[in-house]
Amino acid sequence: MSGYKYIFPADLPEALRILAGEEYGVTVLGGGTDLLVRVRDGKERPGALLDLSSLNLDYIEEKEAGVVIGAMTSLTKVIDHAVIRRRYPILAEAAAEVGGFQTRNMGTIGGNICTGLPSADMAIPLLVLEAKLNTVSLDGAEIIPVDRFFIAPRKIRLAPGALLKEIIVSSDRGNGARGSSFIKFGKRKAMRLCIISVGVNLLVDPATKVIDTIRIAMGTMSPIPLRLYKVEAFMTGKPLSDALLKEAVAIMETEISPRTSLRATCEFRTDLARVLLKRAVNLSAGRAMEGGAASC
Amino acid sequence: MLIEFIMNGEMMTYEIAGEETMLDFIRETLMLHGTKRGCENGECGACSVLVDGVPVNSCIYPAARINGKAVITIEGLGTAENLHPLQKAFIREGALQCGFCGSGMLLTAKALLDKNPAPTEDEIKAALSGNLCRCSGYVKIIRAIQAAAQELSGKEAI
Repeated sequence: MSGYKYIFPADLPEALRILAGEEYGVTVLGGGTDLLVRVRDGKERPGALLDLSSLNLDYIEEKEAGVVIGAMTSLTKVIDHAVIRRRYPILAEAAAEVGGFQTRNMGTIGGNICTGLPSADMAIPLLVLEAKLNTVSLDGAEIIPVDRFFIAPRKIRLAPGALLKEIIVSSDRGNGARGSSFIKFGKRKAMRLCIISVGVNLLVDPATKVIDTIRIAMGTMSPIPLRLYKVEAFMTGKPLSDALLKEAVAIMETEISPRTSLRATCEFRTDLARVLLKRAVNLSAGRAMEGGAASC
Repeated sequence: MLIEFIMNGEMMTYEIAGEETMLDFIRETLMLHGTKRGCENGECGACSVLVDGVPVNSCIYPAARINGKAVITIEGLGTAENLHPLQKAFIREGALQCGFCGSGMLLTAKALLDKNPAPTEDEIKAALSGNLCRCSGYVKIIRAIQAAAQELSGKEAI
């Protein structure tokens, strides 16, 4: 790797001072599974790496309203954590799809979304959970809703001198049984990069199948991880059926803008989106009927 | 920068460069060549080592980060006279062909069995998903891990 300074800040205020100083051309280092490969390949040439691993940002705290997850929490910890598995299983389901055992031990939930990639697996569950991002700088804290965080591939709404401290997930209120699901499609069973991913989080009345609330997000189907607000608005308040899903797919096609890349063509991605939207909604509804509690 | 860590049970202190990877440090400075240099992209798992018991890809892990931590490389898993049950099982089952993936496979398997002493075949496959064997000897590797798991749990019962 090319020469750069490696900085372990003593605490968060020192990290923010170094970041604001910009005397070295500082790049923030999370787990390193993306950044260090890019540095090796010469795609990034940082003057210094600011390692956040010593700042104790590795935590999952249960609150009455939800959970707060430190940005440097490893994906393995997200997968194994009892509170996450009970209250927000879609986070564990998505984290389990990132890379392999080693990369999940190194990779962090904050780093995953701070790559700003349209394929960032953790963006999808965080979007459908309407997570909020607590970012901090010398000017103080700013809470950014996750759907405003992504601007363009590898571009995120993080002010100069700011860093992502923690992710806040709160349970929303609504009527019915809750179910969620995350489905990722890649070309092999493991260590795969995403061709498309779909996340759904819904509240449904088990008796009438009327959808009280639904949130849908897709990865790699637009330049940023995408919330499908139009499809959500269309499905809300209607009973779930095959006919409804067929219409939802038609609306979905107006919201997505997949591109042809090395991994898949635009047409293939669109075809997958048609199938996987239905599958993820039905899987979520099935899980809700099986015993999703309204309390989330 | 100065780092202090435990390598295979031995306390060590070294001066390293900030940009050094743990893989370079282990192979070039400590001269422990059991850890293999494979893809250097964090994909193949040949460079896997355990940091505080957890497998990581040493090729994309800053050496600076092992400060205060305990590292186990393949040299620390067993000795020639006293092999780890996983190593014995790999030999017995013929789980190594060219052997290049072996160090990473063994250490990842150790971490798996420490966490889950009786993994199912699917759990073994999931744990090894970041360790590639290009001889494609996965069947025997999985069989060896199952055999070692049985042996280890048998010992614990006694």
